[in-house]
Amino acid sequence: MSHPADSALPADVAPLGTEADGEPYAWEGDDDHVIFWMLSLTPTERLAALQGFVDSFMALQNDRPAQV
Amino acid sequence: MLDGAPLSTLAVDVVFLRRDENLPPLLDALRALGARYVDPAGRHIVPDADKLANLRIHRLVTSMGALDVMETIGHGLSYADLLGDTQVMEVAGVKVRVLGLETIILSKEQANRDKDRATLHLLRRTLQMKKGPPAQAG
Repeated sequence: MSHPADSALPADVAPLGTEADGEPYAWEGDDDHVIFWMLSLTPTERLAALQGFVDSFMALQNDRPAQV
Repeated sequence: MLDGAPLSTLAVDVVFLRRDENLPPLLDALRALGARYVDPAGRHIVPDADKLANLRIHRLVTSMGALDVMETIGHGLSYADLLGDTQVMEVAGVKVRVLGLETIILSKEQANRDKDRATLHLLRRTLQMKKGPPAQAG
């Protein structure tokens, strides 16, 4: 996707599309596992995962075991 | 996150189309959420019709968390500019129009703050993995 505002980007910012051209990608590491997992979920499941993170933090804050 | 990037934010960002008919329902929704402006001085300032009609960015806290309501993002990308890269998702029974990763990346490239640059790698990588198949091993 191009946009007229692209020309206003700072010189050190890669234009959109340089990393997302639809070509096969090589597996890079830990980030890819998390992304792959997140992409396997539905939007509702993604929010549920986020809520799970929040619940875990709240459980730690309240000094009680998280519900798993 | 709704589009698959393993990133979350403290505030929900909403871009609205500034039209006279859109302001009353937006104000009703903000009132229902108990919205008030983030104010370093600690004053209790709530949205009203005049503020919605005249301010371009509304940084709010609500009963459901932080909420940014904006007329544009990035370098002036408006609702009309963004609409083509949105999709309607049903989340917990509610239909929401979600901005696509390509335009989120564009807006963060344009905003170019430290916090935006910090997320770009994961956003670009997520977009790449959504678009392309994994390379065959060997």
